[in-house]
Amino acid sequence: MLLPLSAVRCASHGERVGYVELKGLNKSFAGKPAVRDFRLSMEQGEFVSLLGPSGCGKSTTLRMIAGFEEPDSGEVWLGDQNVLDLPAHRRGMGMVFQSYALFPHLTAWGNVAFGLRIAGRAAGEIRRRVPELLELVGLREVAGQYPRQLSGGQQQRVALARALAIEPRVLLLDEPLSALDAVVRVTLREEIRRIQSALGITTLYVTHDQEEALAISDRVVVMRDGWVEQVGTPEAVYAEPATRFVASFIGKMNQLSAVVESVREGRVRWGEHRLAVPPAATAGLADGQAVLVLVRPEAIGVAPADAEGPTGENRLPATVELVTFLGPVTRLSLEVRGRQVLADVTTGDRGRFQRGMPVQLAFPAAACRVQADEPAGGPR
Amino acid sequence: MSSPRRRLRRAAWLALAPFFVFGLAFEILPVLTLVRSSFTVGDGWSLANFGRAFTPMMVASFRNSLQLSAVTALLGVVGGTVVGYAIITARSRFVRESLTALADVTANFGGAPLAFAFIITLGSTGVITLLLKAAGVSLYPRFRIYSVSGLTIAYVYFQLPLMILLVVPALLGLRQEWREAAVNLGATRAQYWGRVALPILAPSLLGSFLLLFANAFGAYATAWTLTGPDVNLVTVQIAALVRGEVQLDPALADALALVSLGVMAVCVAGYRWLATRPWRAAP
Repeated sequence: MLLPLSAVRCASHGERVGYVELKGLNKSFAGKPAVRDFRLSMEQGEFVSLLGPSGCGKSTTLRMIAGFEEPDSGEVWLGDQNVLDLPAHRRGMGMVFQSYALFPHLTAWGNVAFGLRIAGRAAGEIRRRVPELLELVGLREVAGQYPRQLSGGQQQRVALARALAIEPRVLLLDEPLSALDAVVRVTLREEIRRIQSALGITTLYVTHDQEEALAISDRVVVMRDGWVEQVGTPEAVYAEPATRFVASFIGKMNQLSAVVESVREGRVRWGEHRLAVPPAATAGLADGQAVLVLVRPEAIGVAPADAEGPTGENRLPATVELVTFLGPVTRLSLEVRGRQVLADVTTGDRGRFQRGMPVQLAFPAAACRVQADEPAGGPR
Repeated sequence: MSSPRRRLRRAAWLALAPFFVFGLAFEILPVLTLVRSSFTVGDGWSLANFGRAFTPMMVASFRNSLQLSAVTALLGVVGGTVVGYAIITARSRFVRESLTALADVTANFGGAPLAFAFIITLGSTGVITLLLKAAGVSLYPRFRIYSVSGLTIAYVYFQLPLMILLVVPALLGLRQEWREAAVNLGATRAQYWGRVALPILAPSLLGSFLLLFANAFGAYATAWTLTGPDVNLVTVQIAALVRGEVQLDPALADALALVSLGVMAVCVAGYRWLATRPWRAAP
């Protein structure tokens, strides 16, 4: 729809280059570390999400970049300039807040025009650009309404238009959708991604919603307790979690406590069962070492015990403990000799499984990831 | 037979009866008496009392009262807002709570005790006056506490803390995100205050000004104790007419009181209207 982009200038279309380099950022509050040695390099036009539970330091990181918090140490480079020396109002970063932070005494039009007026833009230019920006976010018809007259989703769109109005070199979004209901959240996140892609603006997005982060990001930074646990594409973070925390935080993951039986052959022992894993996955480990075998529920095939079995090197008998309807998929909680395994089947197959029913499950070696079984928290 | 809910509602109204009786006896009946008396001459209705209420002396008393109220309200609004902001941004919780409690106490410290406090400190033989004199600074005769300027200082003493109490909730309602959003959009601190904070606070500040104005306009004991008949204020004139110091004329006093009531009503109505403005900062 409606993209008057020719008139909406942004960093990627202009002469400025928005390349972000965060070097060893540290921040403590009352002696308690909030962000520790945060390092990230963002390409121009990239959409990166900071993902993690509450209190992991993602918002603090964003606020340090915006200039609202002063880091204890580290650098924030924008292009060829370390912006830590600049006050917040001169950093040229557009920010969208979780609570929208629209000025209540100004209309949607006035809010979007605010930054342009502060910058001393000509009245004619403001009259031309504000409607364009409102149209960009699909809200031209509410230009004269005050924030209190707008829905949460509309307010957040106005906040986005306001942040874009100043032609920021980097767009920072601090949990912008967390106050909205589920349906609006999905619509608006797609809208944000569409606008970001169209403008090519470098964007850092904070969220605690892993589905949201995976859906719209070029790369995801998973954080915990101020540390960066993993940086990677959504696919890589999902398929190849670097730590036990990432494995448990991103989607559902079976974590099978096992012992390496043969590093060379790629074989582990899980209770009484031998499991085949990719030989490359046991590289660096030793025979007899305690490990975690990570398998996604959707990688596990299940069939009734008397039916033709699913394919995969690892085949195990099990009993259905619980059948949970999750919409497009149904999650089976299976008991394998006293141990629990989760498996997802399509909801169309749901009728084939009942509680207490004996089944067989199977999964390929290639679906397994192996990690040394370290204390909770895992390696950093 | 009435339902339990209806009985409960009836009981609730009954519980409010003492309040209604009090309001009727001490608010409504006195005002009705005032209205009746001010519109009555002899046995009939008349506007003659109001005609006499606008003699040059009475007009001067209104002018003085309006000026004194406006000036002290303005000083209270400006000073109270600055001090209120200092209180809410103080790092120490002890300091914040102590200053707020102090404002609470001093806002209610008025009348004759306040006037006496100023007489013994800034009077012609007051403590501060004598200390300053010993230090080589003579307040008198250029300054007199028994004058309009002295009255202004005394009024600000209770206007400022009252303003602090009124403005602190509004200042607390200023969200940090608004400041950060403004700064993020390129605004300096001054631009934030000029374009965001003050416009948001404007209804609260204007409303508070009106309350302070009404507060000063209706003040009597402080003015009378400090300056006696030297400063011609409406409240002093009303008291003089009721007490019969120069002439006993309760009907004229009632007419003056009714005009004063009108001024106060406009102030309170203005405050209420401003208080319901939708963009008003709320805690």
